[in-house]
Amino acid sequence: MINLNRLTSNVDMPQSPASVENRSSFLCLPYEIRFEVYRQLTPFTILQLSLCSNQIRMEVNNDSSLLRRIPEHRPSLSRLPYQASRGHRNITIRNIPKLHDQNELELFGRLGYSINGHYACSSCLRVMQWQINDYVAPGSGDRFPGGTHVEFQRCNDCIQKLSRSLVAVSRSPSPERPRRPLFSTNYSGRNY
Amino acid sequence: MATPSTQATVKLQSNDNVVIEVERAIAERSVLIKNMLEDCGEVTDAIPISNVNESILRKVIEWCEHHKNDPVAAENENDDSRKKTTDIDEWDQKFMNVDQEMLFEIILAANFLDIKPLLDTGCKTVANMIKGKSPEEIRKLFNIQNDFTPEEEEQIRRENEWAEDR
Repeated sequence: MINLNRLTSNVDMPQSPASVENRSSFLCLPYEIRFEVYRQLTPFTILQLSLCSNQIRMEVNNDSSLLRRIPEHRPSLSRLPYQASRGHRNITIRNIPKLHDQNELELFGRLGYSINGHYACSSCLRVMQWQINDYVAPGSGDRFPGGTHVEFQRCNDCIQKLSRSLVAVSRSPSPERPRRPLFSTNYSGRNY
Repeated sequence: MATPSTQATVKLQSNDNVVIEVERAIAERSVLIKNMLEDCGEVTDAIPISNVNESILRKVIEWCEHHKNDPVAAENENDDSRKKTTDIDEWDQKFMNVDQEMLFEIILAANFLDIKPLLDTGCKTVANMIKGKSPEEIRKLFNIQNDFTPEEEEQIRRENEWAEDR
């Protein structure tokens, strides 16, 4: 059949019977097709999917190539700012260097990762660890507390970048607006 | 090997015994059918498509008809060169806007008939359905049973805490 570069699973998965009645479920799709779906997902979405059931968790976590196969995230994985996978085979939030878009940022907040020692920069979308002087209660609350209000944070790099650009803007003269004299002068030529 | 045929149409028979006549060029979007026709030459009988029912077969033919002039992708095309998730063209998005059961059936038919671009589009559509959803929402979407024990849930929770000293 079609070469999906991944024809067999390396995990002994309980295979669902592919009967006609029961073939319209995601878990009843052949593994190679599910793998093809996983391959299209961002790391953060793969993490969410892996938390759905044991079978998916096993499939995702037994394939170390999965995260690396997502082209746009591959470069970031090699320069993780933290001990990403040391001692861990399972994909966790620590394997996620960066969120993909604002939807993931919103989901990140909604799922309460922020109370477990992480935050995602609302500007560059990198997933970061809270610094020691940040106020945070690590480990408190449920894994997925519903309706958690999370204020979006900016990382130090982005704050510095932003402040540098603000300073640069305030120092540079605006080319559009004609420069006004610093002091207005009256007809006698004296400054006020 | 059989001599190349100039046959203009071929008949496809679904697993519920409905015969559909299609242009050969359209049917040949399926690598399975293309190889079969190349091997057998002129085929007058209907080709049985045993894993696909009539409604799905018609949908697949509709897709093949729309994409009949698309360039055929190379066999050894690099994974990275394939389009990313969000890149589903508008017509395909509308085409895939069907219920979940039919979507999975189309994907299975594309896999069986060896129509890689259709399979890709189907997988991307499923991936787009998953994007931005929490585990609970994904379970609900695909009717997946949460079979984690409390101990496993606790392990997952611990794994997702940020502990520097591990």
